[in-house]
Amino acid sequence: MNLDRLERIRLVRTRRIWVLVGVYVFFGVLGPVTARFLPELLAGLGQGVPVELPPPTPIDGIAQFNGNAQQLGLLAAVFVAAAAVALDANRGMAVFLRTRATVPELLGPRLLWAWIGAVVGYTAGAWAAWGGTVLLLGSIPLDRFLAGLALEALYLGFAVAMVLLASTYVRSTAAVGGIAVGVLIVLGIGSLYRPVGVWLPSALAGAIDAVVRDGISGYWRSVVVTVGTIVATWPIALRRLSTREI
Amino acid sequence: MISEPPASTVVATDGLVKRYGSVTALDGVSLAVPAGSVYGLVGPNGAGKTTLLGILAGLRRPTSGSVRVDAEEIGVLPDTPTFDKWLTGREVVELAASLTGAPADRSAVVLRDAGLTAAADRRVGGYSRGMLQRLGLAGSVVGRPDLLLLDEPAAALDPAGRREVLDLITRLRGQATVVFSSHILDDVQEVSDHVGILAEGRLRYQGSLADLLVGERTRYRVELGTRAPERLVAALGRQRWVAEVRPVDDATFEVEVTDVDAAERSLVEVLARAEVPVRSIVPHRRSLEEVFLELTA
Ligand SMILES: Nc1ncnc2c1ncn2[C@@H]1O[C@H](COP(=O)(O)OP(=O)(O)OP(=O)(O)O)[C@@H](O)[C@H]1O
Ligand SMILES: [Mg+2]
Repeated sequence: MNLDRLERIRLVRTRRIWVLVGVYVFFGVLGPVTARFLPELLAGLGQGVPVELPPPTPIDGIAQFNGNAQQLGLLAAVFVAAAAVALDANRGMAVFLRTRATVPELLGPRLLWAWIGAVVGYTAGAWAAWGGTVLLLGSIPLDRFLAGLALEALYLGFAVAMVLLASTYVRSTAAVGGIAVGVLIVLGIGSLYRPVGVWLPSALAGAIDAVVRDGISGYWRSVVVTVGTIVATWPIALRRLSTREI
Repeated sequence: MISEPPASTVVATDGLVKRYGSVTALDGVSLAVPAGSVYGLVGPNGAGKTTLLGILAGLRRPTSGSVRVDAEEIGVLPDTPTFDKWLTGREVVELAASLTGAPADRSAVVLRDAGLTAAADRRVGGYSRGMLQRLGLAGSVVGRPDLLLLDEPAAALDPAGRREVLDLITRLRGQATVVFSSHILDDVQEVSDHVGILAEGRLRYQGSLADLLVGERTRYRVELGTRAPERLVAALGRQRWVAEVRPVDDATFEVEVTDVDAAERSLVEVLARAEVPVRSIVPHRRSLEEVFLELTA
């Protein structure tokens, strides 16, 4: 048993990996289906009132998935990460771990596997959405789809970094997850203001449908800021945690 | 009542102060733990035991004062050992072993010593409080530490569980220096050779348990084979080290002394000179509880 294996076991035995995959895949399947049948659904509900909708495009399938994945999916990913990263949530456990390994040794595998878990979940959902879209709505360019996936993976890395930062201010899993979600929401709202938004990591959140439509070129600023923030979070967090008393 | 600091100490603190905001948890603690001793740290709730052990373990920082810990490998047992519920007991110990570089086969040995062999492959989530305590202990000894810091290792255990933990500590004697906190005085009296009595953040006593229990004033109960003659009582009363002679019944009396050394050298001689048959001479030892209540009152 070692710290890396501990994190892999954590994902599987707590069934958190299946929660992540389940949530994302559910929306991945649902997305293209709603996009395809939304006009019919609305017509059925409208009962004679004519509803004029443009015919659904393949991008709508991905977009539908994305909208949901950015909410429930991200929430799940953040709390799964918080449960592993909040080292000091329980004093008895913190004493066990922190008297035997250094904080970087403990956090490294936790952050890595929390991120991998989120990416695996999102990727599974995205491929489900891709499959459904191709089947029901028509093909989408694979290279752009993959580029969008990569941006989302980077964004999930940013979300995990925010979980780490939150864990240096509060201890309990719920508080860590709550603060991280709060930060992500505030940044998301901030990114609605375009001049600032193009620089914010939030621009990467759910960028996949826009990337499929317009390509990846508009995202470099946000990518640079996101990578920079993730890298900077590590030493800041280590410094803050090294002075925390258990 | 502070005895001489022993020649070789594994843990020594000097004037340790710890404040949490306006609360002073430790107020000038100078701890001296002799190498190889089993040191019982006793004190009422809130005395500062957990704080002191936390500082020794490097988990908390003193507000002022110095700490010296001469140990290569330190095993720490928190007051409520907790592990991920979905690990098995064996996995917990194997994790502790791998983090301390202990050989893989050590895990089975410490699990057996902790009486957990049968439960080793069950998930920790189903363990009782006592099993968790023993698992924590197994995890702290697996790396063969030369210093063990145990915070209330026997608290909240049933008598059988307590027994097992005390036996485990007893078996560690000679292999490691053990500092453990407790407010179960019988336990401390049973397994420790040195004690520190902590109250309101101050060390009220520190030294060997034997010295503490005998104290500077003690009593001997003398039982004779006959009625105690007046001249013996008078002869004892004339000794400079005797404070009082109290009859218990016709043939038994208690001698309260002010100087234990002198009493141990001369009491038998005084009795012999009186030419009375002596059945027994028993020093009355104070219980740790008596001393504790006296010192922390
Ligand atoms: N993290 C903390 N923040 C603020 N005050 C604390 C903290 N830890 C302990 N204290 C205070 O310091 C004092 C000593 O607490 P400590 O836990 O060290 O005592 P203890 O001897 O271990 O008590 P117990 O027998 O109840 O375990 C108490 O007044 C407690 O309220
Ligand atoms: Mg305590």
